[in-house]
Formats: sequence, structure tokens, C-alpha cells
Amino acid sequence: MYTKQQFGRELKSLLTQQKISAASIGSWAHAKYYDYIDKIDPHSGFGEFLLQLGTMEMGPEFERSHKELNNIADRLIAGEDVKL
Amino acid sequence: MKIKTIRLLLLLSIFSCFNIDAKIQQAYVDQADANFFDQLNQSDQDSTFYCNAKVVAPSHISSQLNYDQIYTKAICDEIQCRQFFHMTLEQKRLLLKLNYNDFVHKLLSKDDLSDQAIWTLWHEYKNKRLWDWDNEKFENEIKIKNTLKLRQKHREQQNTLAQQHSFTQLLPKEIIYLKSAYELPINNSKNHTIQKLVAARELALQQTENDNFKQYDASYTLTPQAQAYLKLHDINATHYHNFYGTTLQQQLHYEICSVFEQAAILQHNIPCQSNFLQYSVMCADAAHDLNKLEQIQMVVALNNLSFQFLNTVETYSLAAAHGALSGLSNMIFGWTQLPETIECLAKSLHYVFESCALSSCALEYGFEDLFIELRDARNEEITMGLQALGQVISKSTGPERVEALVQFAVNFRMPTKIVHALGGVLGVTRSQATLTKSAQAITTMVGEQIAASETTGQLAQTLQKAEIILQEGVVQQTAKTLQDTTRHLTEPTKRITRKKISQPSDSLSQINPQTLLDRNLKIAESRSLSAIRTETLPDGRIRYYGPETLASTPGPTRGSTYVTEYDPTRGRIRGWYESRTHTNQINRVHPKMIDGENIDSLHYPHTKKELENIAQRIKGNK
Repeated sequence: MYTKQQFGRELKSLLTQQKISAASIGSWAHAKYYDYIDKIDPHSGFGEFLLQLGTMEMGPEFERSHKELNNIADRLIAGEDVKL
Repeated sequence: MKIKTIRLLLLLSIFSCFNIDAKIQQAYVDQADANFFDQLNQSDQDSTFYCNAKVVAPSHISSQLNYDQIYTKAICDEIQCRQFFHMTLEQKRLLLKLNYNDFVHKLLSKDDLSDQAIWTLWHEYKNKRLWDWDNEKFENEIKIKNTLKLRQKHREQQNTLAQQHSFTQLLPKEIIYLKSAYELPINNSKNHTIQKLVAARELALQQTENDNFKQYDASYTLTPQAQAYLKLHDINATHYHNFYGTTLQQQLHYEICSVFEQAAILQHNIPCQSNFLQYSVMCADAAHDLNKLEQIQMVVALNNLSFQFLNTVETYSLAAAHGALSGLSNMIFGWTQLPETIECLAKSLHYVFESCALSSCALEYGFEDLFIELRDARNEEITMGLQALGQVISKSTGPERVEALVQFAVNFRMPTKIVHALGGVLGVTRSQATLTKSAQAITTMVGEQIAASETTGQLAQTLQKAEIILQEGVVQQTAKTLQDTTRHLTEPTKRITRKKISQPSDSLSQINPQTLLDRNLKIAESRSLSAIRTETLPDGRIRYYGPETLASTPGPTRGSTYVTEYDPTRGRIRGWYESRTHTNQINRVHPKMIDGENIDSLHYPHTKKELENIAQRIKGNK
């Protein structure tokens, strides 16, 4: 089972790379969804969260700052339900 | 005077008659009442009650007066009322006379009443006061309905808990029996995987004992690849999706599922149908049946065997493939125009080495294999053939190497097996003369192998075995690959041109269509569960819309949604992001996925950044 805590940790480590753009993170989140589609509970809403995070690559109006993403990662690690 | 006396006497007698009747009537009622309640205590069946009522009523009284029916009915009503509403008729009458608030309060405070009884009382009360039934009371009615539903749910939960609790309360004798049945066999294996499993099993056993051998239901998900592999072996994968048992049984079931998944992955990596993988799946399937019967020791033994089979295939065949590739890479270095040939050769060698693994492993584990002797003989011949091929390839160049490879397959020193199978595919053995030659070769080889002392019957049996091997699909598969190689050799330009066009659909063609369909269906199911909105197009395609993510800055775009489109007729699936304006018009689309594969596509219309990149590229080209 792929959990939000696991994703939160991965996101946190990804954010340590300073040059990574929000669009790339969005694309990465989308790819994660299809990589782990079998291991994500469809009723948990976590899959939808990943796809919603993927919208960051749709344009600057959907992008989130590294600070916001860091905050999201922390909340995910803490086991909170994050809604975008 | 006499007349007056007679009249008086007559009046007295009539009066006394009535009095007697009243006494008898009262006695009957008392007796009947007592009897009926006794009967009711003995049986809850209404039918029995009515039946007994007729027996109790004495016929001479009913003939004199028709009271029996009236009283029977009254008593029946009384009993029914007590039984159903847990109160007397009088109490019920008083309850229905209460004002609205008191009635509701009393009705809901009665915990012993069933929902149906509450509802009947409510309707009786409502029917009497329909003229005064306003909206507030209607709303209250809905609230009461909801309260009753909640109460019913709560009761059901309590019942389920009580059942579970009673189930876990096992008798000491049963626990002693289970403890003996749940003993794990002593393990002497030095295999690392099995040692890991043993630790997990011991932990699960401890947990099982702590839980007092409590059984529970757990669900498992097999990968689509594993499901497809099980389908190949005529095993229904859905039987493995749920399992009811103790923690140890669940651990063993998990191991069985792991065997299937690993076998499917290994099968995908090797070019031929592996007998060992088949054995491991068979063992796991048998273990599943035994696990349901709590035959723990047998299940553990079978699971160990399954994992041994898997490890064997993995170790031997993967090492063989790696060795074959690295060994031959020096010889075929620079031969980049024909990568398929290299792959084909590697696959052939893979098959050869796996055969070795099969033989040696069968001996190691004492597994009965009918073809050990023949396979060993074949392997010797393969070794010689490979040496000859290596010499030819090292001396020749380009297309000559391919020719040598095909010749290796055709003239290989395995006349009994490969030539025959290859002949069918390549058309070498089309003539009767060649067929006879092949048959003679079989006889010669088998004749050499078995000593002269072998009887004719044994020879016939061995021939039969050889015939089975001839039909092995593996050999034919290798031959087909080789045939493809020759075809590619004649059309190198066409192949290279096709290779240059890199589209998502190219890579998809390599995936097994059944696996692709299964995966797409799984994605569609997953999306359908979490979709906010679903839309079916006239041609049958279904679009699943996810929740909208709103734009964080003001502008023409309102928000963006992820859309998944599933085409049930073709089994294809694709996904994209679409952003919409404040008037709900789509203003940008970004394709993201086709058939479960992520694709790297531009936005439509292109974003500013993309346009800048394109302009820069054009400038650079100029």
C-alpha cells in the first residue's frame, strides 16, 4: 500500500533540490499516481490528491511555492488529510 | 294472588337464569384468560394460540350465548397488544390520548418497543389527528424515521459484536487441538528467503495465539500481471482476493499471493514457458486449498517448495541470460544494425541454460522429471553446437553471421529436437525425405543413449517421450524468433526507418494485449470510484471527471480538472488535464496518459514557456 506519509517523505526529499520547478513536481506527482495505482486505496482520496497536485503543470496560476509544498509534505507525513 | 305469585316466581327464575349465565360467563372468561396466557407463554405462534382458543371454549356455553367469539376476540386483541406493543390495551388507549409532545416523548423512551411497533403507534396517533397535523409534525416524523434507522444500525452492530465475541470464546479443548494443528515444522533450509519467511511465520503464530485463534477476513490484491499468468494456468484469480482465517493463515495466504506475483514477473522475463514456474504455481494453488482446511504444516511445506522453485529459476536462468549476453557481446560487438538478432540469440541461450537448471534442480530436490536423461543428452549437444557457432561467428562478418546463426539452428547437433520443430516453421522438413531423416536421427540418438540391453518396449517408451519434447512450444517459439531475424535481414532499411519513429503506440505494441486490457480496466474502475462526475459519450466512451483545483491567482482561468476517458469497446484509456474559464469553457488541455503510460506532450494551446522554447529551437536551427 502506497501511503500519503510515504509520498510526503518523497516530496520532502524532492524539494531539497532547489532548482526543481513546480511544474516538474506536478508532473512527478501525476507519474506517481500511475506508478502506484494498484497500491492506492481508491476510497482514500489520496489518488485524487496526487492528480490535483499534478495541475501545477497547467500554468503559473496553479503553481505552489516551495514553502507551501513543504508545508503540504509536513502535513502528509503527520497523517493529515490535505485538500488542495 | 296466585297469578301474582306465579308471575313473581317466573320473574325470579328468569333473573336467576341470567345471574347463572353471568356467573358461568365470568368463570369462562377467567379460565380462558388464564389458559390463553399459559398457552402464550409456551408458544409465541399466533396460529397455535387461535387453535387453542377454540378448544378451550365449551360448546354448550357458545350455543347458549355468543359471548365466546366476542371474548375470544377481546382476549386476542389484548394478547396481541401485550405481545407487540409490550403494554395492555388500556395503556395503549391512554397513550394515544396524550398530547403530541408527551406522546412523542413516551414513545421514544420505550426501549423495548420494536421499530415496527413504534411506527404502528405513530400512524394510529397520526390518523386520529390528521386535522391537526402541521408541517412541524411532518418534519418530526422524518426525524423519528432517521432515529429509528440509526437505532437499528446500532442494534445490528451490537449483534455482530456479540456474535464475534461468542465465536472467539473457544473451549479449552478446541484451543489444545488448534495449538497442535498450528505447530510450525522445523526448518533446516539455508535459503535466505525461506529463513525470512520462517521469522514472519513465527511472528504470525505468536499473534494468532495472542488473539486466541481468532479468524478474520482480509482482502488481497494481485497484480494484473499475476492475474493474467494465473489465467494462463486456468486458475481463477478472484479466489485469492479474499481470505478468512487466523493471522498465521493470512500470512501463508500472503506468501501464496507473493509466489504468483513473482512467478508472473519471472515468466515475463524469460522467453519460454518454464516448467519450474508452473510447478511453483501448482504448489501454491494446492497450498491455498490446504490453508482453507487449516493444514498448516502441509501449507508451510508447499510454500517452501514454491519459493525454492522460484529461487531456482531466478538464480539459474537470470545468470544464464546475463552470462550469454556478456559472453556473446564481444563476438557480436559492432553489429548494431541487428539488435533483434542478439536478443534472439540470447533468448535461445537462455532456453538452453534453463534446461540445464531444470535438470540439475530436479535432481537436487528429487522432483520427478520424465525427461531428465533426454535433456542431459540435449544439453551436451547444445554445448558442442555452441562451440562450433562461436568459431564461425568470430571468423565471419555482418550478414554472414546471421546466416551462420540460422544455420546453427537448422544444422544444430540436436537432430531429434530442434531440427524437427524448426523444420515445421522454417519449411526445412517439408519434404517427406527430410522427415524420414529426422525420424532416423531420433532412433539413432535414442538407440545410442539407451544401451543395447534395453528392450524394444522401453525403446518405444523413450521414443514417446522424445515425441512429447518435439512438440514443446518453446522450441517452436525459438524457431519463430529466428525466422523473424532472417526476415529483418532482408528488409533492414524498412526496420531502421520504423525504429526512428518513436511514438507511444510503438512501445505499447510490445505489451501483451490481455495485460493491457486488464490494466486499462483496472484504471477505469479506480477512476470511476473517485470520479466527481461521469459523462457517457454517444459512441460509448465514458469520461470520469475528478475534483476541480481552483486557480490561486485571478485571471481568465477558473480551475483545472483531471479527466480520464475509457473506451469500453476498444479497451483503451487516456487521461488529460483540462482548465476551464469562468464561463465553464475549456481553454487549455494537456494530454498526460495513454493506456496507463505517462506521455510527454505539449499543452494545447501551447503555454508561453513552450512557445518561447519552440521559437528558440527554430532560431537555433537557422
